Formats: sequence, C-alpha cells, structure tokens
Amino acid sequence: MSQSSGFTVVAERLNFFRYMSHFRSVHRGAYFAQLRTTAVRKLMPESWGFLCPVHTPDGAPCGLLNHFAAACRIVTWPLDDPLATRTAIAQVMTSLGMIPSMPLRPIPAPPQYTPVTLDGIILGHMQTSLVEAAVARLRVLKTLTLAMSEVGSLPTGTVPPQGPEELIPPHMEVAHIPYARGGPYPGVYLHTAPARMHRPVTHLASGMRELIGSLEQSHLNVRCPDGGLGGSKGLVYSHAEEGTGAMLSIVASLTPFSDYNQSPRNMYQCQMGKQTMGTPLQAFPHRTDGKLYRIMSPQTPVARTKRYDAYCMDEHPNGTNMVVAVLAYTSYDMEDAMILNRAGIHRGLARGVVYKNETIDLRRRNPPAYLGIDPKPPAKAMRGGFARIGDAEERPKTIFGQKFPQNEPSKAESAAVSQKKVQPVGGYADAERMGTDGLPHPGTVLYPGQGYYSIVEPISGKAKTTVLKGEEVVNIDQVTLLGGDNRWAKANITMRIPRPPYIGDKFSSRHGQKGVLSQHYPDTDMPFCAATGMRPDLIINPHAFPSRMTIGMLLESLASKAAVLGGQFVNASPFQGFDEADYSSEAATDAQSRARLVKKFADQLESFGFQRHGGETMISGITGEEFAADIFIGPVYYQRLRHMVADKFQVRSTGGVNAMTRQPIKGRKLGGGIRFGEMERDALLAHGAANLLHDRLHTCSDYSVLPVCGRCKSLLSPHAKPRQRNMTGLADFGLDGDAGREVLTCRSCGSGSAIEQVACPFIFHYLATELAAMNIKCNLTLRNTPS
Amino acid sequence: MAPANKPSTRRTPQVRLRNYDSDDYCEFELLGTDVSVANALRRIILSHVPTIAIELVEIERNSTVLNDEFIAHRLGLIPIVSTDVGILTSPYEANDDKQCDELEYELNVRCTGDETMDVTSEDLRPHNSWPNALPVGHSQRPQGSAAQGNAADERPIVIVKMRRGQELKLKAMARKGTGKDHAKWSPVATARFQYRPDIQLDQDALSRLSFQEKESFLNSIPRGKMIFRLNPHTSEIEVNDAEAYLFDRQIFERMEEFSLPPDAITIRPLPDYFIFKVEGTGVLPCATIVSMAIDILREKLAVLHTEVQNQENFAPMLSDAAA
Ligand SMILES: [Zn+2]
Repeated sequence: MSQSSGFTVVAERLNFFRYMSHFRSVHRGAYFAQLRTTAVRKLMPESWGFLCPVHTPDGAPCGLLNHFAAACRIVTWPLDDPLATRTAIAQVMTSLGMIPSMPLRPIPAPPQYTPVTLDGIILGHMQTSLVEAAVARLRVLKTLTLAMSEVGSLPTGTVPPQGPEELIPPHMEVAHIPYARGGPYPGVYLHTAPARMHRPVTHLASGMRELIGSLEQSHLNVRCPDGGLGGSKGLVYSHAEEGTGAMLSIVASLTPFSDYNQSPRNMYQCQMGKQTMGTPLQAFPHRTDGKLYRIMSPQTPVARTKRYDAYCMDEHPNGTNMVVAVLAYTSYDMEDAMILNRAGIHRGLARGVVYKNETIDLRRRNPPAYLGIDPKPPAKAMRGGFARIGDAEERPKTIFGQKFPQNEPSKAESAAVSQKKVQPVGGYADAERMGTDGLPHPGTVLYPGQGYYSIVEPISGKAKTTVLKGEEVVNIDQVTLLGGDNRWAKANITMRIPRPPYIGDKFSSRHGQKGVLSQHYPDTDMPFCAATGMRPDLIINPHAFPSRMTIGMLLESLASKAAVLGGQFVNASPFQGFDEADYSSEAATDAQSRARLVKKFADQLESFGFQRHGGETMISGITGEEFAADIFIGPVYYQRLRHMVADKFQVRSTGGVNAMTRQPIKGRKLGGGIRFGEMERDALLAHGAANLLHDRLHTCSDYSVLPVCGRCKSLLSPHAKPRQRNMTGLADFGLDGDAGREVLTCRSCGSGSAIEQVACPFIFHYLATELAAMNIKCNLTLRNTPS
Repeated sequence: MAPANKPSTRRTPQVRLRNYDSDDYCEFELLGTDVSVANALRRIILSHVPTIAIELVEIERNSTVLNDEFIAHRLGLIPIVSTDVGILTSPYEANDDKQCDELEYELNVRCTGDETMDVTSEDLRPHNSWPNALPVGHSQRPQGSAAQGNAADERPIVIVKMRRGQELKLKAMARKGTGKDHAKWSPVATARFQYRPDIQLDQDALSRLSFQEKESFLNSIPRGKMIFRLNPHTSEIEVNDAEAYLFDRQIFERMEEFSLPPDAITIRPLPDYFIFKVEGTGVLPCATIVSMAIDILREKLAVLHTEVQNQENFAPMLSDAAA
C-alpha cells in the first residue's frame, strides 16, 4: 500500500446531503489518482446497482470517489459462529451432490467436475450436471433465511429450511461461473466474509427477495424495469431489479426528472446539492460546530421523488420553490446571471444565517487565566470626572453619522433599568457588550473592531480584550460555559451572521443549472402575468437551456405548476411509468412513456385554464406593454449555495505593502490586492491602454521618488544624514528651522549638489542593489544634469 | 407649448367599477387613456400607496427557537390595518414641525403549559393612541372600521411557536412607509391590468369548416368554449367572452392545423381599454388603495407640471435639445 494518508475524512455538516454522503462514499485510493490509465475509473458491470454512476465528482477524482447506490448494503460483521456456519454450508452442499475434498486426493478438473469454494477455501467438487440445481437450491435457501430475518416469518406454502439449511447466511454470495472456453476459471464460489457489498433483487423463481453480491451479479441475468425485453432475443431472466432507481445513490435519486437531463448535469447537481446552504441539523442551540450554514425559510419541494419521502428529507430541507420565468430581460441575466425579485428578498426568500463558534480555552493558558474585565473605567468616561454606572460613550445623534447604530445602551434613568430588568452600561471598557464576567451578552450586535470578551492574567491582573475580526456585523447567539471545580475551563461563544442574498451569491436549481445573483430587481419593474398578476421570483436567461439540455428543469417547472394549481405535490421520480410497464410486450417505449408524462401535466394545466406547455402572456413592468412571445414560467426548487460574496470579495484602494519591494501585498485577509499579472498586462498592451497600464503597474503599485546622483550616475550612493548644527546658537531660540532635518548627500562624491529626485518603481532600486551585490554598477544618465 | 394646429391631446379617462364584493378584491376598467397611465397606476398601487408596518423591534427577552432578527423580520411582515395612514407622518415627511409618527406595540408571552403554544399577532398589544392600527384579523378591531372582512376566515398570524418555559418579550414600533422601501409596506398582494382583446371573425373564411370541425376547433383552443360560442341555428362561431382570451398564441397554431387562413380570426389588444384587478391584503380597502393611488399620481403630475412651467428650470434643457 503506497498510500500513507487520507484514510479518514471529516464528516462535514454543511448540509444533510453532504453529511449523509460522507458515510456512503468509497475512494478507490490515492494511488489510482496519478495513474494515467482510465480503466479503474470505469463503471463495470459488477458495480451496477452497487456504485452510483451519477454520484461521482467530475475532474481528477472522477470514478475514483464513488458513492453506494441507495439499496446497496455492506456486510459489516463476521459470522456469529463461523465454524458452525461453514460446517452447515458444507453439509448442505454435500446433500446437494458435492463430494467433499479430502487430503491427498486430487480434484478432478473441469468441465466434467466443478470445484466448490467457500471464502477462498476449496470445499469439494461436484458433477457439473448437478451444479445448476444445487445453486438454484442455495438461492431458495438464501431467500428463505432472508425472509426469516427481515420479516420474521415465511409466506404461506413455503417449506421452511431444515437443519443445517437454517444457518445459510442471507447475504452469502453464490457465484456460479460456468465452464466456458477462454472464460474465467469455472466453479461455485461462496462468500460469507464481511466487507462485501450486497443488494436486494427479486428472485423470479420464488418471487421473493434475494441479496446478491457483485461477482454473483455478473453471472446472473437481472431484468431492469426500463430495459424492456433486453438486448438479446430469448434471454431468460433469473432475477429482476426492485425498481427503476436501483442504480442511483440517495443524493442522485433526489434530482427530479433526472432521466430527462443530459447526464453530466445530474453529476453537477450531486456536487452542488452537497454545497447547498440547507438544514444540516435541528439541534442548533445545542451545538458548537465551528461553522454552520442554515437557510432560514426553507420549503419542501413541490416536485419530489419517491426517495425524497422515503428518506424523510423534509427533516432537512435544502431550498425554496421559486417562481422562475425563462426570459431575457434587462440583460442582467446574461451568462448565467439571474435576477431576483427584490420584494421576494424582503419577504425572506433564500435568507441564510452562518453560525460561527469561538472557544476560549482557559486551561491552555500558562499561567491559567480567568474571564473577567478590567475594573478601571475607560479613559473616555473618566474625562468628565468620575465614571458612574450609566455613563456611556457620547455618540452622534444622526442615524447616518453613527458608526455602530444598533448599539444603544440603556440609560440609568430609562424604564428598563428602573424596572430592574436591564442593567445599565457599566463604567468599564466595552461595557455595552460585555458583562462583568468578561463575556458578551447574548443578543448583542457586534461590529468589527469591537471587543467582546476579556481575559485577566492572574499575575499582572491586567485584562486583555479580544476584538472582532473581519468586516461583518455579527449577533451573539449564545454563550456556553464549560467548567471544572468552581472555575470555568472553557467558554464557547456562538456568533450568528445574517446572510440575506447579496449580489454575487450563487444559486442553483436541482439540474446543475447554477447562476450568480446579479440584481435585486424592483417588484414594479418585474414582468407580470396578464392572467394572474404574478411576478416571478427569479428570471433566468433562455440561453441556459439549449447547450445544457436540462429538460428535467423545464419538466419540473411544468409539473410543479400543475401541482401547485391543484394544491398537491407531484411525483418527479426518474424513469416513471416503467415500473408499471407490461414486460410481456414492447408497448411502453421510452418516447411513448415520456410523451405520456408531458401530456398528463399539460392536460392538468389546461384544466386550470392555463396554456398547455407552461407559457403565459406577460406584460413588461417597466413599459406596461405585452411581450411579443409567451413566457415559460413556473415554480422550480432552487438551492442557495454556500459560495457567497461576503466570504470572497476582495477590494483595495490602499493598504499594506511588502517591506522589500514596496508593492501591494497579496491575500484577502490582509487587505491585499489581486495580482495584475503578465496576461493582464498583455491584454492592456493589446488594447493600447498605456495610461491604464502605467496606473496599474506603477502609480498604484510601487511608485516612489528616489534620489539619484547625476554626477556619479548612481541610484545607491545618495543617502540622508542629519544636517549639521550651525554654531550661531539660533537653534537654542528655536529659530534654526532646519536643525535636525536630514539632508541628502552623495557618498561617492561627498556632495549633494548633483542629486536629483527621480520617480521610478521602487523595485528598480532593489534591482540596482542586487546588481551592486554582484559588482555590477547601474548607471543612470540624467538628461538635464550637466555631466 | 403645443402648436395650435395639432389636434387636442386632452383625454377624459374613465373608471368603470366591475366587481367590488369585498374590500379585499376589486375589478375595474380604465378607459380612454393609454398604457403609460395604466402602468403608472399599477406601479403606484404596488409601491407608492403608504401603509403601516413594524419597522423597529427592541427585544428584551427571547428564549424561543427563532433568533431575534428573524422574529423582527416576521413582525415586519404582519399586515397592519392602515386606515389611519393618511394622518400619519413617515420619517421622510418629518420636519421640525411634524414629528415622525411611531406606533408602539408590546408583546410579552411566556409558555407555561405542556402544549406547544402559538404566539400570534393577537398577542401584539397596541400601546398608543391609534386604536385602528391593529394586525389584520385581530379580534379587538374597532367596530365600523372600513377594513371589515369575513372575520370567520381570518385567523391571527403565527409569529413563533413555544414550548414550556420559553419566553418572548419585546417592544415593536410601526411606521408609515411605502412598498418602494420595503415590500412589507405594499398594500396589495397583487395589482395587475390586462388588455381587452378585440376579436374579429371572418365568417366567410370560417365557413370552410363544417359544424363538427368548428366544434373540434373550439375544443382544441384553451378556453375555446369560453371565448367563442357556436350558434346552433346559424352554425356560426360567435364571440362569447373576449376577455377569456389571454393573448396566447395557441389559437393561431390551431388555425394553421385546421387550414384556416390567418385572417379568419384577427385579434388585437385595444390600446385604451384596461381591465384592472386589485387583490388587497386587508390593510386597506381596495377602493381606498386605488383612490389613494390616483391621488398620488395626480400629485406627481402636479409636481412635474410646476417644474415644466418653471421656465428657469426648463430652459436649459430646451436649449440643449435644440443644439
Ligand atoms: Zn555623487
């Protein structure tokens, strides 16, 4: 094993999709990631129904990081009594015609005889003519023991397993590889060991449920409900899938009408569903996760698959049903941008919250510190004399002039204080937000730069206040104390950051159609339906559809519209209509089944007085005129993704510079800039935008004015030294204005007379220094200096 | 100034009331004007008619499952009967003589039972001299108030649910505002207008179809049997209810399918006939909303008019246009 790390991953609770997927994923191993061959990444017949073909990331880990299909189970425990079970299996096999293996006795070779192995150990061999009947009997026994363990009883009319037969494990893999010229080595391979995948299918001969393994499956004929009669004529099926969704993982099977989408779009949805701001858990007040995302007004989707209900996904809702109009309007919807209705945002659409936790560990400090405040009143409060309870910082009276408008402490004479419910602000620093215990009051609004907790060093008795970093305003959600004997060991401060949808936030439908919010469009300017007066919540551009072919999204809109009008949810499971299809005929073709579904929704819409295919006459909200074309409009479930501008925006006009180069520093956290690199330079050069180029690369970067000695032609020789005191004694009377001021002198010629100020990038000075270190002199000829 | 030889552009717009069964819904026709006026009226109804909504919330105690700002947001969205809005002053209208009016409410609920308890708009206690400004559906609404709906199907609005021991105590302040600032001040659920279609039938062209064909033609059009009627005596298609037609294009597709010439049925929207439908939220009667909207429109036009009249303001613009 060449891999030495990466065997564990953190189970992130970003949302429930992600949390759940962490427990149902398999990685093929880091070794294969570097491998050039793609064979390991391919989906093989033996993984059908075990690994989901849709739920895998695109790019580097594609096909290496897989997820189990929803029905796939894993044998996680060894047998209770392996010896007894193995003996029982051997007895059953012997009764079915197996000749047990004996020491020193060679096993007859195929094709007349077929070897039988159990967990890799040769059990014996049997006449090939008997094998089929024996395997059939084993399958019946598997179905019976499964029914005993799952249901507890057998269906009436079945003969219960007798004696050793009772011990046949229901998850036993019975792989029968028949003799074939050039084929794999024939034999009956039985497996009972743990760490195997198995999945339920219907055993057609008995009509009961059977668990099959992956090797076993490759040698069985399993009928798919939507496969019709299969590819080859006369194919005899031994098993049938339990449903059309057998191949899909849980997350993949939550995509509505995924069978109508181009396949990569379903893969994108599997990834984006796991990046959605949703409901990761319900016990928010009791949790102290480092960071949690939560959507505040989630909804249950109108169009939902059967698995959505089966897995109770309503417990962890992930998005909002938005009324989506597909039209090009105002050009703010170009290139995957989308417009949200401002009124919708005002009413709480897609409003999110980020919870952040900060843990103060007092035990980690040496010497151990304690929470508390500096009892000395702040200097400001002292100014007017003595600091009293109720003394607050003076603040401007205007609404817009206030730096922290929401922090208004209670006055000592206010009703809240006189009724003894609210403590007035105390006479110590940060008293508006912090109690005397050094911890913030729950419910406090905290602005960046404000102190919110304070720790006292026991030796010096000095208090140290920690200040809120970042640029966002936070609310203190709660403060939790964890403690030992009469002293708190840890304090946990939960902060809540409200995140309404900002311009630049990312949204996505459940069909891999992601977009960036580009405008909060006024309700009055939004187009409205002439018939209902409905204004859309969201507008997307029709160009999002032709190349991506996410017909599922159009169908979701159509189905949801019909469902909403009828006041019901709609089944949006993929491969609908095939489960009920009649296998004896080829009647239900793919196209017919699809056409039936669209017709159903169209008929419903028509019965409610709407156009059959979801279009509506709309009127521009700006001009009041009708659009020339009918607009496709209907509800689509949208997810808000966790990528938000508030976490990502980077802007700088001035800020820190690198000490050596005097160029702006990089890094968002440090207030740095975004690199204007070579390619960006090339673009400006190509445009001939010389002034802009000069502005970016010089004026806004390391512009500096450097002294150059025109006589010595050197950038490095001028240096500053303090002006010599003159002896007149004027300085004593403060009349020598230049005293102490520095003066530039050239070190090599000893005079400052030829020194000129030259504007140039500071990095040039650095270059000259580096060259000087290599004994190369950099000569600067100044044009207006006589040489 | 318009040249003297131009025909007069003076119009006499008319409003014809169609349906006013309850204060929450009204339907009227706007005639004799053009789309700019109709759309301006719609936009003003949506976002310029002032109402009252909770704007500031001071939370004293909140141990419910919902956080402070979420409760404040929910409170803001509660519709408050705004029949007194005309005599109130909004923060933008306030000056040295007139103070911004602030309507105070108090909410103080604690759950003591074992059952889940609903905190509703019913628990909001007004604390001021505006007895009419109560949440819509509040049981102690004043008698004879204009916003009297069907009290039976109006239930108080749930703000938050509580378990035993949880408590919510807050003070809320409502202000006058408009939907332009925040959707919570919008007085309507929706206000819309639609064009009245003018349907012309060419009976000669339509007579190509047999009676049965006409019938199946009408059946194939959405709302076909509402828009048109088949006269059994003359076996001619007649217009039954032109308004049932919603300017969708399916009718023309069907005409092609039935190999009718494109001019067999011609439909165009009437340019000066608008059907308005206003759905209120209960804060104001629809009649008040519409008449307030017309007043606001008139006011805005008056401001524009005085500005245009003021040659000093207008002259530079005119000279710019000439140059
Ligand atoms: Zn020199």
